[in-house]
Amino acid sequence: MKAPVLLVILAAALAAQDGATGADWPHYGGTHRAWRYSALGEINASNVRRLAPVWVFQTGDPDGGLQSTPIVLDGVMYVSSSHNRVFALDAATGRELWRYVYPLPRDYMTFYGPWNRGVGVGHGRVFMGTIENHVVALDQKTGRELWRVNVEDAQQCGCNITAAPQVVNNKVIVGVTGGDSAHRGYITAFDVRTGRQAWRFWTIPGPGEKGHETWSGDSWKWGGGSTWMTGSYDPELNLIYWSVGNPAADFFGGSRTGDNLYTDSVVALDPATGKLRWHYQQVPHDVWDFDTAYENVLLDVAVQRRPRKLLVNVNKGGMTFVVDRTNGEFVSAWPIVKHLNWITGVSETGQLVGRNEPEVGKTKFLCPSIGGGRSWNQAAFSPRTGWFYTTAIEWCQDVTSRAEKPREGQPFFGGVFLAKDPPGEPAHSHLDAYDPVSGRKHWSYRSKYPLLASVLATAGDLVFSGDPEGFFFALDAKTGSKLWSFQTGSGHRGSAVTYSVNGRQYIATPSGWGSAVAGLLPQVWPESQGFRGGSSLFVFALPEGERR
Amino acid sequence: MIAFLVLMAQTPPAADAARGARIFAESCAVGYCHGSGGSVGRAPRLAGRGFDRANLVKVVRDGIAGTGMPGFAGRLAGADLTAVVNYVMKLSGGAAPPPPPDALPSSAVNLLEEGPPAVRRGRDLFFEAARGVRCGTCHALEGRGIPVGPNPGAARAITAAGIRRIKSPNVKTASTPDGDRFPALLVERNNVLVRVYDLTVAPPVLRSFAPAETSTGDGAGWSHQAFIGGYTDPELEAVAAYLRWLAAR
Repeated sequence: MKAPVLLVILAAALAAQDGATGADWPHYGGTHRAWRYSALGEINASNVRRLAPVWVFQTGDPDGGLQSTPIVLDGVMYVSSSHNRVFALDAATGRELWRYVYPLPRDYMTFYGPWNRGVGVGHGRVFMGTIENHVVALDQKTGRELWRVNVEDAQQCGCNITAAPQVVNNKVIVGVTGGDSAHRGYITAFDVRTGRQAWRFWTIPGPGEKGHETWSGDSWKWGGGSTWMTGSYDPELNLIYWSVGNPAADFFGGSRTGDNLYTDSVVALDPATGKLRWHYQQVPHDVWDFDTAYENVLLDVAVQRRPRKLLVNVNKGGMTFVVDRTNGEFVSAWPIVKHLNWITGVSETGQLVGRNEPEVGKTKFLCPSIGGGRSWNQAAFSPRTGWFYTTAIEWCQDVTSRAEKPREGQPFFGGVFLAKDPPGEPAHSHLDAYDPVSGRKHWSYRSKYPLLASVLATAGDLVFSGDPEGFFFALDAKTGSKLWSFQTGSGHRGSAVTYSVNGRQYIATPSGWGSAVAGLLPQVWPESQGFRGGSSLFVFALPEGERR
Repeated sequence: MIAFLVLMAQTPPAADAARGARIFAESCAVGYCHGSGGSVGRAPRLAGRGFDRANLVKVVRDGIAGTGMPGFAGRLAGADLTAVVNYVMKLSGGAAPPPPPDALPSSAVNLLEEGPPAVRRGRDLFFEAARGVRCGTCHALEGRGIPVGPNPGAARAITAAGIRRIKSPNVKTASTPDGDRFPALLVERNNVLVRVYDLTVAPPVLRSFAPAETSTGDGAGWSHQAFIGGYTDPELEAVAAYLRWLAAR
């Protein structure tokens, strides 16, 4: 690996607390800046050992685990489960206020899992994307359905919606899965009140549009480019930032020669019109399934004494790209995994160096696995330490590429893979603290099994996450030492949040093992087939008599 | 010698084995499903499972309701289904004898490839994903599309001009107390709930109201012609040829 671009960071975070949450957890990533950081500090490094459960909620549907990020507003929590059920709960007691059960046909079958990663709340409505590719709007007070729109026929497109919608101004903005199907991806915005489509941004430009020339032949029609996580938003710049996934077929690029814009790119769009303002492509002509689909963390940091408005994005290939979010200019790139051989490095201008591509008819050993140098579970940023906290997985795979023709809406991988241990050591995982721009590592917490839950950082100088064996834990944000853990009975694949009701701070975490990547683990860790499923929400607080 | 001949007759030819391996890689091993060689993924391990052939055929053909396992009848042609079943039987332990050639229904073909070229062109246009709004946005045929509007499958004499002229007497104007008026297709009205499709823009929005929250009146400034504006006349002729072919079948 080439040394990361040398950058001097004089001040950690200039940013005040504008990326921090307070009493509420209003958006998927905490705030629109996606820090997953709370300014609440009642629970802190000195008292976290006394943290105790105060209520538990069972969704009753363990299929696919519980992958949600709860939203909390004014003492009410909104959480979605598999099969698109939504529950509104009293956030202090866990009492159910209402529930919504999406009317799925009994015999519904899908290639994709039944999970859902969260709702969006705004304008008195709760919004959810569904496994049948609908967007649903519910009355926030009663859970009554107000409108529902079928974005595209799920059986035809081989796509659906699992990510939380993004609510910006009077629009609800959703992405789509389907990047491993023969499908053309997009981002779509709907009017929050009526459900009428406001705009669509195709992630693959059509004939006559700029960027169309980066696709050979008809490949643009079937080229993937899904948008399967939730975007971020900068109100001052009035831009939304979405990440676009891999081109299809995943491992075979012979029928889609060119850079394949805007796959593996971050796109900045005008939220009112969906018009593209800039893009930054991390992996031109991806042939590894190394999506740039994850969260976009918006930081204001000084780089070489100059205050910069930055966007930090970790991709599936185990590389972090930092760009200027005003214009998409490259700032730096750094790896989060040790075992990475699909490139030898990234140049000082952001170009991939030493591409190591799959070859048709051959089996090649490539790192990381397509399960990801990190999965979609998200990082956190603390303005108190100025550090970026992310999980990572050290694993590799044998990839056999195959020439393949697209069949609309059907799987379009162009090859097969089998996960493997990395050279010289068993596959494992870690959670690390980094300088967000230079990638300098401050501490590392090792885990035997892949850490597949998001990270939560708090002003109590704590970092929370959970592991596949069911332990939910708190680390010291400054040292990485484990301060507390609690066994929730099932593995962690969701996103913990924190909030307060009447001044008392709560930590809430989904518990429930499942998901596509979890399904790959037995290829390397056979015993993981026995990891118990579940779907519950655990909420913790300091015991009433022991606060302060 | 006789036993040897019987074995030869029952062993799938090499071409069948190669086809089975290809189908498995494209449709079964993929991504997060059964894994390379049926090793395991989110979907179960298949290698070494010792499957019962008749049951395997049923599962591959019909899928398993309520799970991620789809039915492949209609997605794969009969010979492909047979080849992939043979391949999975081999992965699963390989002891069971291969089937008689008619074990899978000959009707298990890829529906999307049926019909003469002009019909296939019409079908492609009807469902053409790249154009965003297409016929299939509001109409379902052959198991694809979204059934908002009426099924157009009975149009034995339809032409492009006819498609443009289609009247929509069922589209009414809905009004809400806050002054919103929109073209609406009534789905359901009872004592507690009114549900209509809002046809202002595509895709249609299924909106729910309390009965007091909306009223519907006759007539609407809505036309089928405006919704299908993205199609040229020659394209609509091809769509009409597809509809006539379906109606006559």
